[in-house]
Amino acid sequence: MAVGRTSPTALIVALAVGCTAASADDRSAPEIAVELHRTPQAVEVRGLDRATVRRLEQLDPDDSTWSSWVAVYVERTDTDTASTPPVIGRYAVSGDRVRFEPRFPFAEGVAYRVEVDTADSRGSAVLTHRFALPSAARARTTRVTGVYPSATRLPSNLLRWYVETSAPMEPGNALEHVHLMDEAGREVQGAFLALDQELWDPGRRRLTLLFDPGRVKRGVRTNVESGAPLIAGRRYRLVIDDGWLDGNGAQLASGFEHAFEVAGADRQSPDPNSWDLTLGSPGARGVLAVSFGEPLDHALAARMLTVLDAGGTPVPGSVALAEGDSVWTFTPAQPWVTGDYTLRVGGALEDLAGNNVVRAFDVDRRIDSAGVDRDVAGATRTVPFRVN
Amino acid sequence: MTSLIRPTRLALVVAGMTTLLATRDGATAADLSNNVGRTEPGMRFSAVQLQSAGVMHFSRDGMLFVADPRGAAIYAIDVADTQRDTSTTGIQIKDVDGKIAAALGTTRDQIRIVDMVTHPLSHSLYFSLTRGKGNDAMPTVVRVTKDEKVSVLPLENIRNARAEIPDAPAPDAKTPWGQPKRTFSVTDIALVDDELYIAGLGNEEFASTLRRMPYPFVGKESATTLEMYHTSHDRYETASPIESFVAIDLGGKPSLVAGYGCSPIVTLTRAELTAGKHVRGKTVAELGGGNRPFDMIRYTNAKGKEYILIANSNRTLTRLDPEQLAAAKAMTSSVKQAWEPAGVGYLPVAIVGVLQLDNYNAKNVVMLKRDIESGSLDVVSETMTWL
Repeated sequence: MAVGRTSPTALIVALAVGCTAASADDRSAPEIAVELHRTPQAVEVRGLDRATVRRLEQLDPDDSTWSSWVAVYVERTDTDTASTPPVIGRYAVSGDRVRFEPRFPFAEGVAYRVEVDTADSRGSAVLTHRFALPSAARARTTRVTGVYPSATRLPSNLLRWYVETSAPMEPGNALEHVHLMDEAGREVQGAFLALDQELWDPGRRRLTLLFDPGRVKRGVRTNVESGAPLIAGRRYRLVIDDGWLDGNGAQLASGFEHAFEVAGADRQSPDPNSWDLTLGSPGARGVLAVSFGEPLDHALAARMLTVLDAGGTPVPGSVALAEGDSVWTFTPAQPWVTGDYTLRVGGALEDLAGNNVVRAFDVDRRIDSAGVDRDVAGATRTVPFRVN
Repeated sequence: MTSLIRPTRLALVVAGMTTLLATRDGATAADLSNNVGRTEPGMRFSAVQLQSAGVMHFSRDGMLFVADPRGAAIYAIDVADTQRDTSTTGIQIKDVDGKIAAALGTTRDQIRIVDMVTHPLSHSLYFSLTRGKGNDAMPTVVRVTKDEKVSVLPLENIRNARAEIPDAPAPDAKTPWGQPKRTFSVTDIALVDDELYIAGLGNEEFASTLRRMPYPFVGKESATTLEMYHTSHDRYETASPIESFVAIDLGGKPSLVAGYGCSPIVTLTRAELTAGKHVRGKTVAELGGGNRPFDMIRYTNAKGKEYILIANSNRTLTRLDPEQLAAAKAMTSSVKQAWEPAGVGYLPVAIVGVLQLDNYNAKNVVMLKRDIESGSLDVVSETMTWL
């Protein structure tokens, strides 16, 4: 009986020699062939006798009784105690062959066992064949390209990090590999919000990591009990270890660290009224620079500001962030025309502490019990300016 | 010389009301509206191409709702589960993740279960999960029967209706640099009086949004998007993502009981949930710090008494009395010591390690539970006689 790993490219044919066949006659015994490197993958049992074929031809491709004739199993490990069901797939009969195509591709590093019941009136027999797809070695090429905010001085009520990587990552266990370390080199436990579904961008190259809101919010139990994860006046490091796996299952090429010091809490909404707008030379082609006076959220600042012309139409141009996300620049596609313009600011634009333009992150109702209902979603602010 | 003059006037424009009600146009909406007028609007045989397998919910008549957060969509799927189980016996499946993984041709470390729900008539269990990891990950939905038969829902051709999650970032929404970055994560969904409630959070702006849209889907969903706030000790009011919720009548009023990631339990009257409104929930209980309410169900025990049951990350299974929630005032107490529960009290049920929770049959609730001694992930039921 042929047992063991297949070579990566071979079509494996296992002869029934030496298997547990109990009957001995002059018929040729069935063979098991595994097609791993074709699409779809398949396991074929060849050389079945006509009576067996006739029986199997009566079954639907998805019939649950197929697996009592031909079944593929994931090999159990030593620690498994429960019985395992056969691998799900579709069956078909063609000539003297039964073909099984698995519902999902056979997985690398998993050992499989094929069992074929060749019993007939002359006795029982189970033909067995084992195969596996070897695990390929993965090159470590993915790295962390940056974390945001990138500033080295951050508010103690910082709400989130963005971690960007050079290639798609494997979601699901980021919190095992992203660590907040204090001055003494101890990890701050439970700093980040655990979510069943991690907050990845569609390309799985940017992870949003929220500080546990319960530890950032004022008056909330976990804040009072455990304290805020970041304490003003102290230094920390955001450390990403190289054990984090990318989308190919390879570890990172290297770890990443971002050191920063912590300032006091920021409980003020960003105020567009206080922003500096400047138009750089050369003249009509000048770049509009909006200085926020503080770093704003890296993702939101990139998309929540729009330049409108006097008629309210968005002015086409290219946008960039500079100086640690504290400056937004806009380069118009066409030269500026003398006249009135408006900078439209989305109400959801936040600073690093989650205070948005229309509402601070947490509002003290004892002080500001009136007027909170004006802070509805979707509110925008506008900053008029004129180009002469 | 070009110069820039900066007026001091600042305008506040409330643009939210109309945009909140808008949904995106698109081929899908058009496809669905082509089906308007059939007996079940929007339902047709087609491939359900999940980009991700998220949280699920069964309607009382067995329609499965599956969230696809990455695809910014909700699917209503006719699972065609014609089995009927009228028994009142419980269910037990040891090592359920190992068995599902084996049926999918892999090992248990290569699947990630997202949600488990019970078909209300067949009592089969449905799991949303990802098979494989990283670039090879495939979202799917698996059915497991009481006798441990595992099958894959034939999503390649199944009767379904698709609706885009209203106001979720479009899958092709791009940054100024041309890359799609925004996503929306769905934490819980439920069908309540012909409306689908969708709780979740985005990967950029921090807001607690609850979306409501009518079901059956009829094409262009007119949805209500709410910003939810809750107060802490009746003082600081903040937005926060809802982790799980349950619809229930409190004091005769249709309400929601919502559990938040930082452990407060908040009640909301459904009549107050209207578009664009600043909705403020009432914090009536805290289960205690350092805990997340994973899952929440309501049930009626053998004596006809209704309760809410909560599965927790760092506490035992927890039973709350809706009558007490209805009668409770907003919490104003201050913290005395770490991990202390406050507000409306609860019964700590002596069951730990519960990751998923659902109603099972007339006599049992069902749990996906990590055995703390063996580490095995098991399906177990618990009779409501003792709950």
